[in-house]
Amino acid sequence: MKLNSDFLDDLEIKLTTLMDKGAKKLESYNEIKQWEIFGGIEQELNARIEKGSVKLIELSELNEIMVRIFGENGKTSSFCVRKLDFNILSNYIENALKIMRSTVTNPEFKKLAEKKNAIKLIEPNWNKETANLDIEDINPVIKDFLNQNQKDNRIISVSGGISIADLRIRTINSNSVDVKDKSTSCEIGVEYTMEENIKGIKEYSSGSNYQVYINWNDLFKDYNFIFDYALEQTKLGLKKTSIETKDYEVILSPYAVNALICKPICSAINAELIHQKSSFLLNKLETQISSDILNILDNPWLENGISSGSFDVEGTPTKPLQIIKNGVLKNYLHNIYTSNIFGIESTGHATRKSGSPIIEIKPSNILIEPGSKSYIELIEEVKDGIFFENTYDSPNLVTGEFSGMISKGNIIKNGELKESIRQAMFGVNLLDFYRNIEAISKDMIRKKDRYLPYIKISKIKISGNE
Amino acid sequence: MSIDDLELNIDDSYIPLLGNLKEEYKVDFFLARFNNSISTNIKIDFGKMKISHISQNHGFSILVYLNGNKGFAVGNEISKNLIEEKFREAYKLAKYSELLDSNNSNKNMKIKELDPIKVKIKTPQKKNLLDINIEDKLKFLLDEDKKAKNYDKRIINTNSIYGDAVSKDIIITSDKRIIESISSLARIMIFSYSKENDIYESSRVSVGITGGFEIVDIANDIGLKASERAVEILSAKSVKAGKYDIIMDPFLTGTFIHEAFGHACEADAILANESILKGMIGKKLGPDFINVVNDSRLENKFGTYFYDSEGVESKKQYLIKNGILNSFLHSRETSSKMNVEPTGNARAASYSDLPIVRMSNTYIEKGDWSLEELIGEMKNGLLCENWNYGYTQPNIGNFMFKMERAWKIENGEKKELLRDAAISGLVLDVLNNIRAISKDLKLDPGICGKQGQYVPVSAGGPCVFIKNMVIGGL
Repeated sequence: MKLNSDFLDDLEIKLTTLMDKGAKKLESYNEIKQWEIFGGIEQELNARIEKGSVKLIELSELNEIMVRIFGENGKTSSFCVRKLDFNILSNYIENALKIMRSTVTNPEFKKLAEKKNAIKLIEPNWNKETANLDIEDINPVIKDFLNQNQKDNRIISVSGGISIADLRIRTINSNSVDVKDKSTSCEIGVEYTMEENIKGIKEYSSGSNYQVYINWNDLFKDYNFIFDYALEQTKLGLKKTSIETKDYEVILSPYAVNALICKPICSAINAELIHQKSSFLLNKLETQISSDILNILDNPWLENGISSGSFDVEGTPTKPLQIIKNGVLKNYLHNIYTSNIFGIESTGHATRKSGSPIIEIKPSNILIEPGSKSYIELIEEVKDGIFFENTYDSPNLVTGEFSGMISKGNIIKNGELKESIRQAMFGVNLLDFYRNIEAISKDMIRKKDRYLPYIKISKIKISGNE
Repeated sequence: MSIDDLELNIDDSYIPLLGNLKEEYKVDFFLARFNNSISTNIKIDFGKMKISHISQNHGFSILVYLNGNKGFAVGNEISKNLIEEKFREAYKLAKYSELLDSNNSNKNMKIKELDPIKVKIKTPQKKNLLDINIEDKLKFLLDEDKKAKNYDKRIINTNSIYGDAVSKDIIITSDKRIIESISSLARIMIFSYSKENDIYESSRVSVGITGGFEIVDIANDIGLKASERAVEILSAKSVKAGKYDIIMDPFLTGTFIHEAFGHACEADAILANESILKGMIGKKLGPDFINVVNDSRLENKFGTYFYDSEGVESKKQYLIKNGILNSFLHSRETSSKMNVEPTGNARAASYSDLPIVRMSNTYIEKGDWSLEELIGEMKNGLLCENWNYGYTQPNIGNFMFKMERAWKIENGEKKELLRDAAISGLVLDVLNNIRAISKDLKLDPGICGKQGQYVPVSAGGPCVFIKNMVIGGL
């Protein structure tokens, strides 16, 4: 039982032939002014662990052909089929044409991606060994997974899993775009739950961690660190104490930096939201939106970056893009549709989820520029503050207001991490919050395609349960 | 598209074929699921066409149990050869799990057999979705989008979404349960975005049913409602953080009872030590007047189904009865492990997903107060309406929900409108702090995500008066 890249190579040939035949059929209709075919095939090996047992091992394949057609004035229709069969594809093309005739116009759509050479050809994030991984190869990691609950007698549950995939994609369109890519990915995630009886009351804590790699060998070298970090976070979550409501100095962990800085900014610079006037960063280009020590770069050319690539899914060439320079917002992210609306070139940030007709906008590898102090130095500087480990909340992207719960955090007293905090809520206006960024650590942690430091915030109002 | 496009071409000869494979590989149990489904999605943004999309899914999966270990394999074409191949693959994966995990505490677990059954079932549709032209679906959505767009000059954008799906499924199990079903559902959602000076706001209204195009009969004017709310909230002030007595409206009640309590009742979480409700059956969780129900058979509701993805009859299940924790929700695996009857709550988002324990239509039963009486009882608190999103940690029991808006209540009177508030707490504390519930019951459609699978559900209840809630604000 194994992933088999030869099998996927053969299927890729079948997919390519079918897409070319579909293209010929689409070209035969005068009414269809522009078209795009996206094809994807994937093979995936999954192992899921629950409560110290193997819950499931699964080997699966996914095929998908997505077609978008456009008539006069942006009339459009699309479909997705899973079977690689020309008769089915052909029937759906005819049906899509009928639907396109009945739709209303969208003058904002003008043209699909045009044929351009990649500015830089990135080596595919594909590893042959990983693409032929045998189920036996993942044995040691699964066995270690199964032994995790012996690490501490307070652990009552360990869940998580490993997922290894080989993905091939191709995009062709009526403007002679023909690009393809292939990638392997190895994902590992773990969550511990602990129970401890403290003064007759059962306290619970959970901690999780995940990471994504291109090569299995990298995951194999790293996975004990993934486990250890999650376990440490779980331990920190026990012995909770209530805090009083007031302004605190705060150190954000890389997870919290992602939740409060990276994710909101990367979502709010999505040009679709800007167009819909639904972003708190509307009309903020070339304005100071944060303290001047913040620099954020989107880099699709990063060597071994999880989200590196020469083209996006619409076939637009990628290039590095400064998002924030010395606190000033420099760019929004575009796909073809939003670039049509704004009358500029697409920035090459189009992406799509499996089976979805929606072309979304997503950053590539995001790097926050590191500062000069270690995160330990940052913590040592805090007399009375909070170490904000994570929140599962999201902001109101329209207003930039963000109120939520600190899902994990600890008191900092005189430069030292103390008890974890219970049920504390925070409420900030993100633009005010970004202006309060006081220091950035030199230590960086990679979470999938984001490179994140620890960040010190001069003050946040936190509502405790005291 | 027509019902013929959903043909699965599965005849009675597949039953002995699967039976023979069971004997050949000596597996303890198998579940074969075959599916062909067609879905339609339309999206209009502020009068402009964004998406008109048809999608077809077609395939099957085989799940086998061997000495307590599972193997799961998926096929994208339906043929006898591929079924044999995937059965063998599922067997090998189960065998491999067994070898790898020799200490597996489940190795003596056998799926409890149920009585054989052979049924054909169809979701009633007053207006058959496959008979309705996409022009009619589009026209309805355009009209609602227009109502939302033209409601007020402060409306700056709209997103109007229509989605429907018709699915033909055949389930065959080794205990000879053969279920052939045609199910259908539809959902319409309107998001309205408003602006005044530098204030931006938004509101969402949605309706969803199991059934057909008759959804338009209840979705009329939802565009208007979405914009009305989006404009109204522009004048709202931010909530001050602190502790308040609150009244949750039926939609926020639904979010609370689904997210904070319902997920903790899923027996897979109980077995994995990931629920604070483990070992608490029979324990008092709230006042006597609290009854919490998961009912998969409510007529036309978005989470309704008659047989789950393992071929088990769905039913109405009391999770809390008279304030006491009464039962959990089960799949065949969890009920076999816990030696109780399955509750028909194993659901898979598609044929290629493993069925897992899920809710369907979850709500708090109504009480006997009117909303006005609840407000009249409140000295200084909040009437919290609707929700934007929420999450919970069933293993710890805490939760956080962002509400769409709230009304300040002072001395039994509704005062100004507030926004950007979030409630948080520990579910067991909150259940204990419920003081009264109203007599109006409403359910709201939604999509619930768990382990990467998204299924339609509905959740709701009456208005619920709760003492001493932590409210996050600005």
